[in-house]
Amino acid sequence: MTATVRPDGRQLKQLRELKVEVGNLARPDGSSQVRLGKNMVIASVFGPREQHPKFLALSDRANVKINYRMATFSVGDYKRSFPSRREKEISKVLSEAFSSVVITKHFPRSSIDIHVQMFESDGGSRTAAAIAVSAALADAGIPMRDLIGGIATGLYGDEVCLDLSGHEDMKGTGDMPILYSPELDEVSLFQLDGKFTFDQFKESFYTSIESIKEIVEVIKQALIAKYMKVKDEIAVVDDEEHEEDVQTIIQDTFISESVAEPTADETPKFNSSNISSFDPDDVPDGTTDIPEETVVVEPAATELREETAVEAVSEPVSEVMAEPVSEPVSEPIPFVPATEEAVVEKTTEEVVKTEPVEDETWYEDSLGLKPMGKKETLSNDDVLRDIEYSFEEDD
Amino acid sequence: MTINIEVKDIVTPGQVIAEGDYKAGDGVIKIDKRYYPTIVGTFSYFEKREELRVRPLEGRYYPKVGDFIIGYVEDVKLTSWMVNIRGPYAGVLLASNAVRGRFDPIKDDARRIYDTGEVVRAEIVSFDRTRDPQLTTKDHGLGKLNGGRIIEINPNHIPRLVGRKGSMISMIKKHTESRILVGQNGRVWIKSDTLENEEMAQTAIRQVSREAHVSGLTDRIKLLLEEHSNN
Repeated sequence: MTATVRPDGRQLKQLRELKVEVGNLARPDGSSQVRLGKNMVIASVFGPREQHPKFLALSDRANVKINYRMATFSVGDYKRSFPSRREKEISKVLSEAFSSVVITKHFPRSSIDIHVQMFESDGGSRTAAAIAVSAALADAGIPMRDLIGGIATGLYGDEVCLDLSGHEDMKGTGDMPILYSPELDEVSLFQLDGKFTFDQFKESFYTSIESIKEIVEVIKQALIAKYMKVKDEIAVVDDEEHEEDVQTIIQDTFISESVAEPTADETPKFNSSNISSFDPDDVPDGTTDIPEETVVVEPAATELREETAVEAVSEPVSEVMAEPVSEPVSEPIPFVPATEEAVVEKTTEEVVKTEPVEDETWYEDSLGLKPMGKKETLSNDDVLRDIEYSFEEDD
Repeated sequence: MTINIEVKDIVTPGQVIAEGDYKAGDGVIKIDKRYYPTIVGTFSYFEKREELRVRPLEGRYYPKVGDFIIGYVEDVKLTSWMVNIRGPYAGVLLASNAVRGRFDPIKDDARRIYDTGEVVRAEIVSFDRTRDPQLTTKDHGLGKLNGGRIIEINPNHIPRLVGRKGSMISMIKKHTESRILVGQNGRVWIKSDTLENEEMAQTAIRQVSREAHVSGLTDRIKLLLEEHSNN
């Protein structure tokens, strides 16, 4: 097989040169510059910030808005400065692809704005833009489940070629950009233009996915390289105790440098320690049934709560059952604090009894938020089988 | 039960930190028995709680109850103020959280207490996913800030700026003879008698922020400050 069918002398499965740089703009929270062959794109991330206008805010998650624009000089001809259909389309599909991988539930009612500016375009610009957005989001410190990489495969001279250039895209008969997260094994964007046989499709799909793994590695290297520039060694200060230090020290400095109060009055002083934030881990399991009169809840005194809980439950039981039964029933009910271990034990027992229960602990994060819907367990083979059927139906 | 990364390494999303049963702390998610960082940051592990955590190197300020912050009053309403706290949400300062005693909107003018553009230091008293953060300026030491200048740095570098037991910030204060207030939202207020001192403090703080992840920072800052105070 002749390997040099391609105009720029590349192999069939060879990427163009990919360069990723991160943090090269000062104003945005995160930025990146990507060169993929002759493509050059800069992405900048702002946010999470307040959503304006307010009525567009989502009550449970953040908006991810990507604004993809091409410079007027980015293509051979003059590109009109007004947003074209193509730009709007790419903005939309990229926004949707990235809102699937950004943990938007951590920032309800806010918005994450990403501006992608294409300076030079030479085939596969939407995948170059996706690489830039992925790097810029990570640079902005926005939590993501995984990085996204993207590449286009297509048909040029009836051969499956990786990473079509502008010329190949124009002369070729098919184009298939894919955005994919290697660790999650999720495809977040899939477009297909032209006519592929099933074998061609399968070949394109797997070559894309293999090369996306390389691309994501390049992004990771770029993210770390930013800190290696300044760094000889990571600071050794970060400690658990140290974090508490910061809180108290800042409090101390705020208090020591006192300023005049707006009005002085003899009203009781506001005490912030009475307000404690709700922590789901601190709520004991068994104490919800206790009658309110008997419980004197001191905040953060779990031992006291333990005693009252035992009394409250055991007393009424002993009164009713005392006469006929000779044996005292009032054996103390062991107080089980709601530690994680106890919960875990329970669930595992249940799992043993009833077999086809889904694993509820497959996803966990610091806020205890779960993604919407159930975890999809489609493998690549399942997807391919579905697609194969649809190919058959066409014939 | 294996941890693949050494403590204090820089990690990026999509990198497997550990496999097995751990607690997913800040900046870490668990997907199918594997633990991934969600952000670029330095990895840390707490053996007592078997907790994995990633400390962010970048990222905006996100409000937390009990934080002391420096904010700009952006809007004055009848009985409340909207305060820019540099986060994804606007801070709400109710009159009942700002003034001791009764605040009567008919008799009292909210603008006389805090006007638009003024700078307040405040504490966040309540904040959750459904409501905007509520502030208070009633505690001792909170309230309006007059004069001085404010610089903004990355809020993730605040622990570095404060230093162990407040060593870094007190060193800067001592050498530049200035009053410095550090807000946990990354705003730092500096006020000094002379312009040079104020600018020196600003340079030092900027350098701390730029080199926050490089060790030996205290020595370098000390050198910088001593050079200044000798001249």
